[in-house]
Amino acid sequence: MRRILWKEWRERWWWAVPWALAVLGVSLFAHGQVFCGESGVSITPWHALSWVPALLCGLAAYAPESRQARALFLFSRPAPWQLVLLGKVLFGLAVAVGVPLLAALCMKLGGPAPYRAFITPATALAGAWTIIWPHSLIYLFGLACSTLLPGMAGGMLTLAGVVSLLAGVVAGLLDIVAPLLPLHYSNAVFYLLLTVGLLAVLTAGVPLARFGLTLPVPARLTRFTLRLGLVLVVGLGVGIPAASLWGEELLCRRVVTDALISPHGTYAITFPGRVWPHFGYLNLTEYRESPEVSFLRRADGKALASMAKKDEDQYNPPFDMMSWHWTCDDLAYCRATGMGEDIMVFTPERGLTTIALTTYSYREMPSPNGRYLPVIEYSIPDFKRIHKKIDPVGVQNWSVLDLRTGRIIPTTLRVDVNSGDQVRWRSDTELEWPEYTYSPKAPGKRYRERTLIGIHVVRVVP
Amino acid sequence: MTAASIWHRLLWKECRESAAVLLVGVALPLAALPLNRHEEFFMPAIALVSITIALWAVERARGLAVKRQLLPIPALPQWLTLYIVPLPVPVIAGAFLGVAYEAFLPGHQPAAGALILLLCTIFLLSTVLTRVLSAIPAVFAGVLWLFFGFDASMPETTQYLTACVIVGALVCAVLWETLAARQRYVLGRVLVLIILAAALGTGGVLRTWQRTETSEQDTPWTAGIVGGLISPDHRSWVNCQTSDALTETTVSATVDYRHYTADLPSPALPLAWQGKVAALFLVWPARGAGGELRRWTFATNRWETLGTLAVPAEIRRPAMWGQLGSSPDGRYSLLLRTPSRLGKGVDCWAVDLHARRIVLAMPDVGYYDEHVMGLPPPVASWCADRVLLSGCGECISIDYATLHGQRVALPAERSAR
Repeated sequence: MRRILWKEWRERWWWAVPWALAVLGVSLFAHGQVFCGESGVSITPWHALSWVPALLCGLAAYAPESRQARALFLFSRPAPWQLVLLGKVLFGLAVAVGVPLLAALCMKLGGPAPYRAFITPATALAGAWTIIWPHSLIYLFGLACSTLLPGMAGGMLTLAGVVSLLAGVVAGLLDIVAPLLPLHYSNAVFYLLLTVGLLAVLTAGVPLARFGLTLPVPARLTRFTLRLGLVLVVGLGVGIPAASLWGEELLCRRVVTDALISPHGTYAITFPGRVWPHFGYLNLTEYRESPEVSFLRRADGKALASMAKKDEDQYNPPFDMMSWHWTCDDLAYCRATGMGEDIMVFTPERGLTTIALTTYSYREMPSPNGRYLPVIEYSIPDFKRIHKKIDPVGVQNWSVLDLRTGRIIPTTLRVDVNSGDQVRWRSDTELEWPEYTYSPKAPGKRYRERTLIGIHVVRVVP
Repeated sequence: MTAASIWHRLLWKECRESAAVLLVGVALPLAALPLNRHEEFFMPAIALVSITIALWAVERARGLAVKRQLLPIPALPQWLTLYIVPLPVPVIAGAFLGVAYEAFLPGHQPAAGALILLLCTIFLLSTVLTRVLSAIPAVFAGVLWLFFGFDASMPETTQYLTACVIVGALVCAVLWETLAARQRYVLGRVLVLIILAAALGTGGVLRTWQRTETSEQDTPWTAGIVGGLISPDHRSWVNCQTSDALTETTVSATVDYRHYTADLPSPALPLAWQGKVAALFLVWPARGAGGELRRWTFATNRWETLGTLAVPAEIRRPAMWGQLGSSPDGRYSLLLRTPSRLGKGVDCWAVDLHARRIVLAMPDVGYYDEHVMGLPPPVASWCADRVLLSGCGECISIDYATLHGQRVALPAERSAR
């Protein structure tokens, strides 16, 4: 084995050394955060810089033996074919496994100081693993493809042909059965093709390493194609029903709980959702709307309120994390489902309630104490007048919604719509808005200069 | 054999040898069609076609070196069939890639011309370097050119560079075959390398100029500071907008319906409010090891330097900064920096204004990156002893004493598994 590894080193150090250097360079300078406990979501295009030498190293595995009858000499030596194959596999895996571990060590010992505190053995190993497995797969793919046609160009043609076949023809055929798949189609197909394709190429290519290299190219091609086709047919034949039955459960095991924690850290709104696993640069992560929303007390995890989504297809604001807002009083509100301006409110005491605002629209501007929300009463005549820009413009009737009780408190605040956007809370009980004077519009200027002449204050909460 | 017979046989040989490569070049761009994932498959398809072209060019040139010297083929047909006749293969493959790119990814810039030039360059570079040096540097040059000869975000900016290298490679091809026929190999290698270096240099200068021209028209800025900070009572706010060149910052504030603005000759970021009359800023001086802590009094437009913050080397280079908020007592402030010093993603830095220190609180926060454009920055919940970040796909707790963040799991996360 030692001699075989030495042979591999002499034949392929040209590819292995740039591969190792590229892995080290990319890991340390372009993606070092992967060792700091992050799961490798942020994949940079620089990763291709290390994937290409890994592929070339794999393609070069049997390139020397597959040309000019050198295989005859190799197999006349007292070394079984398994040993030759094992030597080639181990050589590539030594780089694919060893160098990321070395990169993790380098990062821990000599990485930028602020980041080193976040590197633990567990995070370093997890980060190294995200580098190890794509490189190993790419190398094995290349190695299996190198057994068919002579030279590296032959291996590349084989690889490109297999990828075209898998992605184009097979995926096209799968398109026909897509409606039968009760899971996200393209993601499932991608993972199915990746798994079955790797299996098929290994099954078709590796047996050629056993004296297949001494056969003429047409004979090799026949054997390779037959095995590839057989595994593809069997793999997809078994894989499609399996994927339709268990694919989503198997692939979407990772649960990402998006959460919004209240300003005091006492409560949290959680949106558990399952995501597809990542595949390096081909990031297939897709966020799906959460099927449920829960309101928790963080101290003990007790659910104070929750609701489950009923209609999967319809966009539903309460199930979208970005629709919810906390006030500083640890109350949360969100636009409710439907066409109107109804509002959904969470209070620790009353749980989840929906307040109908049939003739009001609310402003996302809670009072400083977080308890009140301004609402504007609109009427059809006002709306028409505003819409047609008839002077004098409409007057808004402002009221206040008490989020704790769900009660609308009428006020005496009347503001013309031009000043409506300028209304602010002055205190927990008072609203204010400015009054300006406008100078005549100067020639060449689009807007009139305005001067603040006063601020009106109205008490709105008794 | 007559000249016509030689041409006939050479062309037939080229057709047979190129057919498989041409098939790959045409099939790969179309392969993503049934999967309907062109965005993800486009770059791998370009990479696979480029590597195929490079290896194919190397094999052709090596085959010529080994075998064809013995055949009775005149020099001109040999040169033409080595360098010119196969060019339709990269041209057709590049056109297919480019047309697929434009057809399936609407909204992107046209890339067919750039891709044709890219593949032709890879073919010619690999062929010339195989003839002049050997196969391995030729493969490296061809593959590495993939990373420098094409920019997916601005495809047209690489056209001058690739055109220069194509012209240089063709000149080298003529020169080398002429000198090699006279067995002046050393001189030939030196001249070829000089010409290629000159072509690269000229192309590089032209690419820089072209990028500058393009960026002036329509390119999102990659460095700058956008910081907005709302006062604890939600009635006032300050904003900072730094120029792309990080040479000046426009600072504005709105307090009680009154607007204040000031211009600073340095990048700046708001850190905290001081009542309703002033705000604290982190200012990066033009030259200096640390960041300055400055106080801006709105009414008088007065800037005071309160001291310096020891800014680590990791955050001195240009980047895009954002403000995540400050604690209600104004002591702590959280800043977001993208890209991370170690790659993509966003790092969260914490500032302790009392201790005058700025430390990395958490590297690569959540999913706040280009894959999920819709997600907002994390939401900060300022508790008594720690600040909690949420709303970014994960929950992070940053302790005030250490300013060291750690990811924490919510009870719901465990129950949902």
